[in-house]
Formats: sequence, structure tokens, C-alpha cells
Amino acid sequence: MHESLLDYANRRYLKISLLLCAVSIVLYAWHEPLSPPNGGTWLGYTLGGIGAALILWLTALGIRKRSYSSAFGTLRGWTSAHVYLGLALIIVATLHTGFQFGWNLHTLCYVLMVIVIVSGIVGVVAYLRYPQQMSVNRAGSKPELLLGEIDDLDQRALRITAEMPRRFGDVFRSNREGTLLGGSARAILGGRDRSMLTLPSTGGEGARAANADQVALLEWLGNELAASTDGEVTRRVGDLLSIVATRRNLLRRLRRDAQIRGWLDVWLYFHVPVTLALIGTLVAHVVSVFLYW
Amino acid sequence: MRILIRTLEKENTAAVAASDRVVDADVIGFGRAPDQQIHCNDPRIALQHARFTRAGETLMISCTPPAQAEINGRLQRDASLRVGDEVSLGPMLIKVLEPHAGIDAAISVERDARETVRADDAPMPKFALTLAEAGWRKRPWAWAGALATLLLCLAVPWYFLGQGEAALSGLRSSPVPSDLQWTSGPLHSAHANLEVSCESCHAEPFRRVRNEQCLDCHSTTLHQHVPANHPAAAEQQLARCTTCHVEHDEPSNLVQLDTRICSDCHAQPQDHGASDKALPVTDFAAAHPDFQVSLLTAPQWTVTRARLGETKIAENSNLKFTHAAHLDPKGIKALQGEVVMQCADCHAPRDDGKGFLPVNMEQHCSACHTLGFDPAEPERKLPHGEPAEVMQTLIDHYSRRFLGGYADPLANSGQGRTAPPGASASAGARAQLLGNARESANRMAADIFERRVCADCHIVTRSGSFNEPAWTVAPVRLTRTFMPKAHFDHAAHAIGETQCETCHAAAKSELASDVLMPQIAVCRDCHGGETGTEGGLVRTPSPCASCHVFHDRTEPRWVPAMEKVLREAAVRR
Repeated sequence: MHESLLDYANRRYLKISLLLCAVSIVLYAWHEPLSPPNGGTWLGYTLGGIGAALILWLTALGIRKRSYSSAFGTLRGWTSAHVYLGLALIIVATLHTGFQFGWNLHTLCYVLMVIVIVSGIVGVVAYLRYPQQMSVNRAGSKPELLLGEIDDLDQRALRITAEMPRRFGDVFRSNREGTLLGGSARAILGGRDRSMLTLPSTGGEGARAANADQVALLEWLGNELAASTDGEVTRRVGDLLSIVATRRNLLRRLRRDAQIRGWLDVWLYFHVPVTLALIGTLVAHVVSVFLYW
Repeated sequence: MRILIRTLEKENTAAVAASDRVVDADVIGFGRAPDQQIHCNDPRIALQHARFTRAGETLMISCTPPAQAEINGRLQRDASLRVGDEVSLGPMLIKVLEPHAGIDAAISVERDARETVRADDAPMPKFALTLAEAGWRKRPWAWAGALATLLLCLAVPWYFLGQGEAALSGLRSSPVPSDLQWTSGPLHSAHANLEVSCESCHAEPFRRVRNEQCLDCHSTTLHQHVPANHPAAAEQQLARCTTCHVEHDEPSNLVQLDTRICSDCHAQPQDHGASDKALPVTDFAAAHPDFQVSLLTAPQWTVTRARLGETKIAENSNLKFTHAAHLDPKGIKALQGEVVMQCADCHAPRDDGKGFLPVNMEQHCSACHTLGFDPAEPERKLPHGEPAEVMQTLIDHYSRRFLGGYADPLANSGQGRTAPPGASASAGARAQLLGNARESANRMAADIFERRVCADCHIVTRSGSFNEPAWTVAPVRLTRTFMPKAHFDHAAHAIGETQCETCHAAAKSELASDVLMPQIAVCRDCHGGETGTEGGLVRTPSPCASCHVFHDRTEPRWVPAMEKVLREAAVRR
């Protein structure tokens, strides 16, 4: 069984994080400063210092994961610690605030930190959930291979249509052109199929039709099959139907693959930039509280 | 199944190299995986793409879904094969051959010649299948986020701090975030005017708020924390105001009510330089000694401190008085008849509602305790004051009476005659009359000084000769403030069922020396400690500062001492 990030090293970093949280909570409960609990008491400074150090260290994962030659702990160990200590940061930082929030820089810093942590939780959930779905969906293949298979099917279909009435070739060429995969973030994450198809119409240009999931093409082929009186054409339309059905299956898998990869990635597009904004406000927070001591 | 697999490879345009191998296996696999008997490293081919098996005498092909094979131009997944069938699998073409003796089946494997000819020259379009391919970027946003926050949250406000008041207030009134974003919480309402002028308190960057900034406004109103003889006086003078008076907190804690600012030392006062007389205090509910009262005591009238409850303590004021007699619920005899007296008849509250005006004879006693002495002249009153004046008043009164010769209904006829009205007496007779008058005055004086009027309330001693007696009245002084070290607001306590006697047991007091101040237990009926919830009761929370004040107005002003401290501090730096 594959050991997940969360189980790394017998959950060593979960234990460390729980200990950190427990110590922080016990100290906070025991500590009764003269003023309401806030970041400016000795415990407030201590928790704030631990929190700031944690934020900088957690950010350093972004550097560590790029240093392929580094022997400073394994990357899996770093990531496991990143997850657990990142979660512990919520407790440490919230106790640092003394539950005092307002419309100010300090609360902005806290809110950015919460966004970073929540996006990180989304990332952990994605990493626990999606890779397995992804490998089931890929079934040992890769997107490039699936695309190659589609290309192959298209070539086969075009070879078949070469010996059929012209409209078949036109429709299959239009299907190849009109097939859309991904494109925008919305399309990738939503997994919607906006493929189009030009179907021949009586007397002229041809009608553009939405061809999500190859439905329009399958329907058109079905109609051709029903209307066909020529045994050879009927046989070939049957083959084409089989090709399109396979093609549809491949497109679905590709789309699903892109969608899964999208959701596996999307949190990081928030996690990383907001982290940098958080570091900006963290510096401003630390400097400003001493500037106006 | 013994199967012959013939691999045909084109060596050049004309020649084909054939290599045969015979495999003995139930299943012949075709696929991209290296363990497949017919291996085909093409991306379109699955790891296990298809399998050849034998059913009876027939060679079968079955493709792993979704793979399909093109068999004689038809797409199929499972099929039985005959000699001469052509199976197109991706780039490969497999032909079924006639097996020779000893072999169950034979196939040839070669590159599909059609593979090299595309039906359509257009390559597959490029699709954006990842967010990165869709144009999403992390790095520019990350840099923008870091730069924007550093600029707007730190650099811009900091820059304007050094640009003078006008520039700073310009920034503050603009939509651009100013240094006001650095506030960590609202100020106490008393400091609301400072909400938008950070520099009033935060005068120097990276320097903690100093006492001078507080004194900028508070120098004329601030008193010392504690009396000068307090063991912690010196330490308190060195304290930073903001140690106790913390701003920007929610809830506001500007006025420090935490019991620990006292109990840190007072729990073990001797550890902090206090004398043995100081008793430990931690909290009003938990540990607070019995109250001490200050008593003015005759004859020196020095203030002595005595603790309630320990022993019977007595206030020696030289006054004869009992509260019990005056507060008799059946009433007492007065000029106007029976009167039931109330506390307020004598104890009038001060305007501030906290204490009471002093009791005095003229206002509070004389309505009943009249100083008349001559029933013939009830309006005639003795002065309340020096005994010599009283004596002189009596001599004057009786001399006038004897010389004036008007009738004295109480006069004894054996004491000589009085001069007839309008008659002029001889010198001898006048001396005789004056002698008689003096005698009457002496008698009356002895009566009022020693038996009624004065003696009702005062301690009087007689001196002088028989013919010229004199009396001394022991001076009376009443304690004005029994508990000067605590403040108490009577008006605040006049609520609900609370009456004077709730705390002061006056109605049962039979002695003038009784001290009617309540003991701590009386207060604890309603008042708890710091939280008010001690011992499972719900009482009024009563931290030290409820009764005891820092910065007491009776203490000297803070400023002179502070200046000294600040000078010393400056020298140390």
C-alpha cells in the first residue's frame, strides 16, 4: 500500500503539530495578562514569533522542492511536515491574535494566512482524492497517447470515408476541426464539451451544430444508417459509428484527465500568490507594530 | 498452444528480413508492456492491448476494452481468425498464416504499410489541457502580491510619516491606506480624539510610548499612584503608564481593574518592604483583613487606627449620646410632642452623595435640647460655647432681674426683696441685690452644668471658689471620616431594600463610644471578589479599585516627581 503524505514516518509531524497546538492552548488558558489577551504580551510575542517563523519555513518548501540535489531531509518528509505544521499554524496564529480582529493590517495578514491554509487544505484533499481517480481514468495511458489514438481513429475514419459519398468525408473533417478539448480554465475545470460540427444540409452551406460528446455526429451517422439502402455504405457507416463511439470515449477520458489535473493544480494558483502577499503583510505587520510600539 | 510468430522487418526498400520463433503458451499477449510476447512500443497501443488464444482449433483475438482491432477492414474487439485474415492493430499488421505440422497456429507481424500514408495531412490541433497551458501563471501574481502589500501596507505610510504633518494628513484623508491601517484596535472613548493622530502617543518610530506623551495632556490632573510613604512609591514612580493603561484592546482596558496590580505585592506585603502591620490581601472575597477605622480620640485628638471586630473598640469623643435612645421606634419627647427620629434628621448627605455633612448642635440638637433656663423668660437662651460666657450670661440675666425688680414667680420670698419698679436703690441696697443675683446665677449654673442641659450631653467638671465657681466642659470632636483609605458612595448604595440600618446598627447602640461602621462581612453579603463569582455565589464584582484608588486626589500631583525621575532616567541613558 502506498504510504500517503499524511502517514509519513508514522505520522511524526502530526504528533509534533498536536504537541505544538496543545502547548499553545495550555499556555493561552493559563496565561492571564493584565490586559485582554493580545499579541503584545510575552505569550503574544512568543506565539507571534513561532507563527512568523512557521510561515517563513512553510514558504521555504517552495524553494526546497526545487532543490533536487538537496539532501536536507526528504521532500516527502518536508511536505508531510508542511501539511501538519501548516494546520497547526491556525491555532498558533489565532491564539496570537487573542481573538481581537478589526479592519486593519494585522487582521488582513491573518485573513491572508487563513486563505493560504484553506487553499492548502483543498490541495491536501485533492492530493488524497484525485491521483487515484486520475490513474483509473488514464488506465495506464497518457494524455499524449490518448490524443495519438484519437488521431489514429481520425485517420482510419478518413480512410473509410474516402470511399464513401463526399458528405461523409466533410462531416468527419469538420468533426476533427471542431473537436475542442480544454482551452480555458473554466472549460478545463468544468469539463464541459463545446465541440462543434458542420452537418450537410439540403442546398448549401451546412449547419453548425453543437457536438458535445460526439452526440450530433453519432445521431447523424445513425440517421445515415437508417436511411442507407446500399449494403456497402451500411457496413462502412457501422464501422464509422464504432470509431466515433471509441473516439467519444477517448475524448471523455482526456477531458476528465484535464479536469482532474486542473483541480489538482488550481488551489496552488491561490496558495502560492497569496502566500507571497501574506509574507508582504507579515513584514508590514511586524515592522509596523514596532514602528508604532 | 504452439504458435509460430514470424516477424517481418523491412531492411531496405526491397528486402524483408523474416525471423521466426515458436512460442508455447496458452495466451499470446500483444501490447506496449515489455512482458508481452508481441511487443509494440507505440503510444497508441495499450500495455496489454490484445490477446491471442485458441478455442478448439480456432485462433481467437480479444482486445482489452476500449482497444479494438481492424480485422479485414472491420473494427472488432473479439473475433475468431481464419488463415489469411489481416488484423490491423495501431501501427502493426498481423496476418494469419497456414501452420505447418507440429504447430497449432502461425502469424506474421509487420509494420502496417498504410501507417505511413495519412488520410489527412492536418496534424491534431494543440489543446490547452492544463491551467498553465490555459495561460494561468503563479509567479507574476506572487510577485505582484508581495510588492503590493509591502508598498501599500508598509512603504507608502512609512514614507509619508517622514514627510510632515500636511502630507501625512493628506494621505490619511485619501483612499490610499495610510498609517491608520496599523492600529491594532480602537481607543478608549476617552481618547477618541486621538484616533486619527497616531503621533500624539507614538511620537518616535520604534520607541515604546513614553510617559511624556501621557503627561502632554494629563500633567495638570494626574496625582501620584500611592502615598509617598508607601513602600512601592519609588517603584511606582518609575513605572511606565502603559504597563497598566493599555490601549487598542477590545474590550478596552484603559482603566486597570485587575486585582493583581495590588495583590502582586499585597499578598505578601512584607516581601515588598511593608511593615508587620500590613496584613496580606489577595482579593476582596478570598482574603481581605477586617476593616480598620480611624478614630479621633480624646484628649489628644490624635487619629488612631483600630481594627473592627477584633476587640470592642470605642470612640472617645467626650459626648454623652446614644443612638438607641434617639431612634426609639416609639418616639421620643420633644417640644412638639412625641417624635420618631430618622437618621437623616441629623445626618444630611453631602451634595456629592458620597458622605455626610457634619452634625452640629445648633442645627441638629437644639430643636429639642433647648438652652433655655428661666421659665419666666423661656425665650432667653444660653449660648452654646464657652462656660465663662454661659456664666456671664446668667449673671447678667439675674442682675438685670434683681435690679429691675420685676416679679419672679419662682423666687423664694425669704431671699430678700426686690426693688420696686422705677425706684432707685441706695448703693448698699444695690450691692445687696447684686449679691443675690450672683447667688441665683451660681445656683442656676450649678443646676445646668451639673444636672440638666449641659450635663445631658457633656462631661463637665467644677472648679473655682464657692462664691465664684467655674466649670470646664470637656471638648467634643467627632470623627468625620472613619475609613479614609477607601472610597464609598452612599448614593450608589441607596437602592432596593437597603436602609441605613442595613449596614449601621444604630438602633441598638447604647453607647456614644460605639463605632457603627459595618464590618467586612456586611459588605460581602453583596460584594464578591474580582469576578464576583467566588464560592459559587453571584455577587457584585469588586476588584480592589472598587474601593481603593490609585492616583488619589489627596495625593500630590504626579508631575514634580515625574520630572525628577525623567531627569534621572535621562542621565542614566
